[in-house]
Formats: sequence, structure tokens, C-alpha cells
Amino acid sequence: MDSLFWLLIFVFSLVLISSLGRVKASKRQLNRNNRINWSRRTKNTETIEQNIIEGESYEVSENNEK
Amino acid sequence: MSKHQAINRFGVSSNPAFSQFQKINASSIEGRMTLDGAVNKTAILLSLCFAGAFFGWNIPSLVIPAAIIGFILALITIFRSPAKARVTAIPYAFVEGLMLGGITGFAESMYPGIAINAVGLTFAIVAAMLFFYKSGIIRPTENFKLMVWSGIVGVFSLYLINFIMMFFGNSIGFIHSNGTFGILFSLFVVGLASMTLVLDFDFIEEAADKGLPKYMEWYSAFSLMVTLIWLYMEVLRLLMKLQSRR
Repeated sequence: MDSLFWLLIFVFSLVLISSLGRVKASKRQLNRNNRINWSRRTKNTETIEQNIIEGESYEVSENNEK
Repeated sequence: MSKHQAINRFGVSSNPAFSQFQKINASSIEGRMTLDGAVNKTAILLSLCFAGAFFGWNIPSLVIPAAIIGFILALITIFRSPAKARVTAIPYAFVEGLMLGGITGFAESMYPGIAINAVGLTFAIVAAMLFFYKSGIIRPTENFKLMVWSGIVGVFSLYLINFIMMFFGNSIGFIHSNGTFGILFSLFVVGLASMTLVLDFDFIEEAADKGLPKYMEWYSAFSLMVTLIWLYMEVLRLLMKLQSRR
């Protein structure tokens, strides 16, 4: 009986973990200014955003080159 | 007429070189880490760990070699580039499963029913910590991280000293004792491992939020596995201490 109880707990926990794990954390958790700065650990990993060069784009025409 | 105006007039170029460029752009969006991906990778590693545990349970002599290989694989995964985490995380999960299966089988032979209690309790703790983290009840901050890391360094220093003392036929008594102090120590370590889970969740959440590369899913899953294995070992140790008091 004790084992059955813990087996049910295990199955219920697995279902909860797999469903809750895919959901984003609440705004209360994410929108804080005292969150941990993990960037020191991840600075060596290339982010996709780094491929975007920020700045103004302008049209090049032959008249401008002259 | 400028080149840009020409593109606007005639639409997207059919030049294969440009279509390749469009493909790369699409894959770079797909190549970002997601929460879904991290959960899936963790599920894969957990399944491998359970498969390993099945073999370890039936072949207990594999415990010590598995523990040594698992330790080496963990060091390689931590100190090598995270981009290669998948290569070592998969065998790590299986080998750790072998070790846990052997240890659990030994514990089960001493205290029947302890295995399912330990597994159930471990996953219940993970589910509870995940709920507390997602709902914002537990909020990890820099101070929280510092506190948890101080605790981890303290506990592992103690384990290391105990390990060295064992070679001289001695040990730190309360680590293994089933007295009140021994149980309080185990409770503290279980609490510490649970708090480490919160740090793992926060790291995964931020990594997915920042859109780190896809391979970080494997690295995150590996980090979570390391904490899960530690938590399970401590829960098993605590339950063994409690059972031995009866």
C-alpha cells in the first residue's frame, strides 16, 4: 500500500514536471530587477542576436558614389 | 534605378545562392534553445538513466566502474565546450543509471520498499520546486545563488575530507550516523540539492529567453541531471537513516 502511494506520487510528479516545465515562469518571477545574472556563464556561447548588426540602413545609388 | 528598387519591382530573387541564405536565416530561428527542447532532452536523459538503472540493479558489480566513468564524463562535459555536451551527456546519463541502480538494489535488499519511496520522493520534490519557481514563490537572486554555492562547497569539502579519512580507516561520524544530528545533516543536504534545482530552472528559463543556440538544451538537461542524481542519492541516504532507526 505504501509502495502504491509512492508510485502514484511518482507518476503524478512526472506528469506535472513535463507539463509545467514547458510553460514560461510567471511575470512575478521574470519581471524582477534582482534576477541572477547568468551572462557570465553564457558569454562564451554565441547568441543568434550577435549576427544582427545594429545601425541605420541607407540606399546606395550611383549618383552618391560620384 | 537602384538595385533595391529592382528587387522591389521583380520580387524575391530565384538565385539559388540567395535561397540558401533564406534557408540559413530560417534555420537560425529554429536553432534557438526552447523550454520544450530542454524538457525533451531531460526526458531523453532520464529515460537513459532508468534504462541504466535496470541493468545496474541486476549487475551490482558495475557500481564502482560506473561511478568512476560517470565522474570523468561529468568533468569532460563541464570543462569542454557546451556545444559538445550531447556527446558526453547521453553516456553520462546511462552510466549514472548503472550506478544508481546498483546502489538502489543494495538499499532495497536491506530495506524492502525503499527504492520506490526514494524515487517518488525525489520526483515529488522536483515537481514542488518547479511549481514554486514557476509561480514566483521562490525567487532566486544573486544572494540566493551565493548562499546555495557556499552550502555546496561546504558539503562537498566535508565529503572530500571524509573520503580521504576513509583511506586511514576513519570517517566523520555524523555524515553516516542515524542519530538526530545525522538526520538533520541529511535534511540540510536534501534542502540544498532542492535549492540547486531552482538555480537550474532559472538558468534554463533565461537561456531559453535569450535564445541561446540549440545545443544549450543538452547542456541544460545535463546540468539538471547532475542535480537530480545528487538529490536522489541524498534522499536515498536520508530514507536509509530513517529506516535504520526502526
